[in-house]
Amino acid sequence: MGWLAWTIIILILLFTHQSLTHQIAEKLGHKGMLSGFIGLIPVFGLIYYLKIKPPMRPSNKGKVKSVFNLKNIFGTGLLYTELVLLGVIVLIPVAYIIGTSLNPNSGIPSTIWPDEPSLKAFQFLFEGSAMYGTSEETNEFVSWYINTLQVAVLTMVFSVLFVTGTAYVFARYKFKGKRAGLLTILVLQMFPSFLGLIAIFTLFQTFGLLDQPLALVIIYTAGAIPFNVWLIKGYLQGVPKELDESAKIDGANKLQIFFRIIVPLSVPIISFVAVTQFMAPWLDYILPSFVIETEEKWTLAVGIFRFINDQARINYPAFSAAAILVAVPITVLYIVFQRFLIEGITAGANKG
Amino acid sequence: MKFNPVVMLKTLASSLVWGTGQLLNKQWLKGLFFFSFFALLIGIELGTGSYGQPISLYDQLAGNPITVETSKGYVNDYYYNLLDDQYEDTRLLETVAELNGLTYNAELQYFADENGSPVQPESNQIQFTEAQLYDFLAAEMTRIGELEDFATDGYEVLLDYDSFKAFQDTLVGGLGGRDNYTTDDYNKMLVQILFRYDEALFNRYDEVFTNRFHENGGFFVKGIWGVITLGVTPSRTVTEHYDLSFFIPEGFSRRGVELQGNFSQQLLLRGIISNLLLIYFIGVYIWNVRDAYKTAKIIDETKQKPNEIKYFKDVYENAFEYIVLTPALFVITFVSIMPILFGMLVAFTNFDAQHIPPNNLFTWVGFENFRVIFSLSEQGGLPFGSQFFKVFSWTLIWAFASTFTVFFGGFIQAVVLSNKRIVFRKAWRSLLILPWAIPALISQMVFNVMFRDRGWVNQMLERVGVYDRLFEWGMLGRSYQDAGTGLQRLLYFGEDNIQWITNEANPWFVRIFIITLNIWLGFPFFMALMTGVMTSIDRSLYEAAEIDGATGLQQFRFITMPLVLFATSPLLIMTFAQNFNNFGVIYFITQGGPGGDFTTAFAGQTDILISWIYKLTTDANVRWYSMASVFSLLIFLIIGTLSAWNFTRTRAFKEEM
Repeated sequence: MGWLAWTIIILILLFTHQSLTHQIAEKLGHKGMLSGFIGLIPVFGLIYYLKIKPPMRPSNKGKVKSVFNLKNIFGTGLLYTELVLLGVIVLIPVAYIIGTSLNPNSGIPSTIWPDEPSLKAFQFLFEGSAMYGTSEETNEFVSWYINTLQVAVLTMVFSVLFVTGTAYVFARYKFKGKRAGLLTILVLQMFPSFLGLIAIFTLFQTFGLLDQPLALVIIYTAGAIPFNVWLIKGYLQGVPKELDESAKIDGANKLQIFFRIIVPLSVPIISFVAVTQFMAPWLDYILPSFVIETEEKWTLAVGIFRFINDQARINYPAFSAAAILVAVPITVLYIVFQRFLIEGITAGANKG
Repeated sequence: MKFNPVVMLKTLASSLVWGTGQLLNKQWLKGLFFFSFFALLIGIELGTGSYGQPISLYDQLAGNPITVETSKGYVNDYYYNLLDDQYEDTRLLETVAELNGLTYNAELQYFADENGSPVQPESNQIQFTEAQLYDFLAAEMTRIGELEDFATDGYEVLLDYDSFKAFQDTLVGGLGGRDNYTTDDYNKMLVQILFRYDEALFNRYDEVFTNRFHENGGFFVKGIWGVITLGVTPSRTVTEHYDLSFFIPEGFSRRGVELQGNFSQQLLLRGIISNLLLIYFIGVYIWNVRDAYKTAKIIDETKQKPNEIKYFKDVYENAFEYIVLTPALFVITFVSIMPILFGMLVAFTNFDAQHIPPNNLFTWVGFENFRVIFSLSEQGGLPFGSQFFKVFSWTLIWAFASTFTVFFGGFIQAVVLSNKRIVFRKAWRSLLILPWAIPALISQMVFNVMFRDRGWVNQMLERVGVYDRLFEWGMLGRSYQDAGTGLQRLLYFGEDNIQWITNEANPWFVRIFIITLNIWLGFPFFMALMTGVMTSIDRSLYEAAEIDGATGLQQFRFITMPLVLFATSPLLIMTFAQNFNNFGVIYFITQGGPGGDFTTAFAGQTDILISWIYKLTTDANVRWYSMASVFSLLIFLIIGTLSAWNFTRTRAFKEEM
């Protein structure tokens, strides 16, 4: 583990150096990101700005000196110690899972990175079987993937259909029962849909929907309505009402206003809802684990959890590999949509 | 108001048969409109019910229904083949003779021994005389024309021709019949025969198992009946046919036959659905009656009939909102609200492991479950009362602590990130936001793997020597009893390994660990949110403060902090509510453990209400649905009230008024 400690110390020193270089460059009037990159070259970075590069504006010796004030160096170092340590803490589980997925044995690895990395776990997932130790193991990863994909696509389509119109009405019209409706939506939004698990199970039982992944679409779609109506409603309230009114004067009825004006204008938020709804089934464990029995009909979340939870099929590399395959696309989407997502979540509490 | 008989008559007409008032108003279109709803309502009821049809006890037999049709199957194998071309009656007699080491003389119609001399069979195997057997077969041949009667007559036949049974086995087996039927089938056939034969017995079962509402009622009637009664008949296993078990062919055994009882939970569910649907119909009904009344009044006053087409156009324009909302409303009603209602209602029943329909019906028990909890008592030997308060207080501590740590963790990190000295702030931010972007489900599962007793974290700590230190300090290597007192016990990590998630002796260690781990999962959201708020703070505020000589710390204390906290504090309640129901962290990391068996009513040491509910609901060995529902209801009351209250304070909501 010594290497980790050394890496951390070196990184702290490097970034502190970078920051000091940047601070000096700023004091000397150099703007932009360049100083940040040059600061990543150890020692040279500092010398470059102090001695080699001529200052952009007449510098005040005292100002530059203030950067080398012990308190400032110490403060910068402390800041970066915190950041680097936190960064490492954030990355360790990520590194661990990547390392585990490359492990050729199905047990819990004792090191973060395997001695002999192999892609066996990924092969296992896609080919359906492999030898681990003495026993042959099988899985239905591809079926799980297809099931989840089907559920995801249908959930996406139905959610968008149900949500958009509802949100439009809530955003644009005043009618009797609107307050009650909004309140209902808000309260419902606070509830994970599995609070009604027994009822949903009985419902599926009554209508013969048990063990059918596609039946999950009904629950997901209904569950998506409250939050997303809320989200789109907030967005639509930002779309100027004058557009509707001028269309109305031109003789458009409410339905035409919706399709010709509102829908085109809310393409970003609708696509956002579509993406989040598409992602939801990949991550839901509770509902499918309760209503789907047959292994090949499971969704991904259920299958993945069984790799670490079901004594009969424990397989850590397969778990990690599957987790990576699910998590990477979703993580990327989250990073891309982060502003949108955070604003969406806060919309309810702040602005509404 | 003046009483007007014509108006009243029309209103009355509509209130009896929808749409007729409108017809009396000469508004055909409206009449048709309302009547179609009425027809739909009646149609659903009649279409789903079976009014006027006789109720058969046989419909209650579990599995494939045993009907005359099913029994025909046996008869087919039993007799049809017999009488087919190859198995004529002569052939049967020949077979019988052969089985007894005799021959059958077809021409003279007698049994003969080896020497060809006629014998009168008296052995056990053949108690029939030739004539008797022949009579029997002849009679059976005519009966085959009326197979429906087999069930009635068959029993007597079998009893009358008692000895026929002696070779029945061979016959059925030899004719390839037995492969098609299972033990259950034979037993069911016997029950059926028994019922037809023994009227008293039949009536005894019939009384219990054929309920007019349950069997004949349609969607609505059965629904209402179901909610009120939750079913009346538990399943029963019929064993009286054991008396007849000598009829069961060799290779099959006697077995109880289940008479299907009521499924209380399905009755309740259907009941809720039909009642919810009925509410919509009642809405239309009220509209219908009011319309009949109003229009009648207008006609009465103005002597003119209002324009119907215009009315519907107006309705469309005014009710546009409702029409658009209808699909979503339906889905929400039946998929989101219905389960919640169901759960609420189950809280007032005794739907638990000892009352699983159809063998044991559950029923309404009023506030009994609540009494159990609030009087700290037990139910079914499980200490729900005391455990509830334990779990509830931990849930509250968890929700407060996790919200607090995550909120301030995010705040501190946002402050660090906003420091002027940080270069490439966006890159750092993107790195630190990773835990939020990685699906929580996945990270939680990964933590579960990492922090197992022999997981990677422990192995690493052992390698770098942390274990040795812990052994030295006595935090490891001893049993909890030997671990000393006070602080030493609080710092008890485990015996052989650090038991991050399994430390049963020292659950607070696990609890604190979970709260700490949750910071990893939760801080990035608030960090991202608050850096956003910080960059949007008006720069001139800081400039003004600087001119007034405020230090950096003072600027932070009096500008940054209040503004950021003010802007984000409304989210605290939302986060609190989410953490209150944060199933994933608990379930995927610790599975509610350590602990959690019947001595604690299955609540583990880190179980929060929602994960306890999940256990009570899904664990096949637990299944204490009633209590799970009581807890759901309590969560609903707490969280629902909290969020509704929070929401009504927001500006957005006030603007809607």
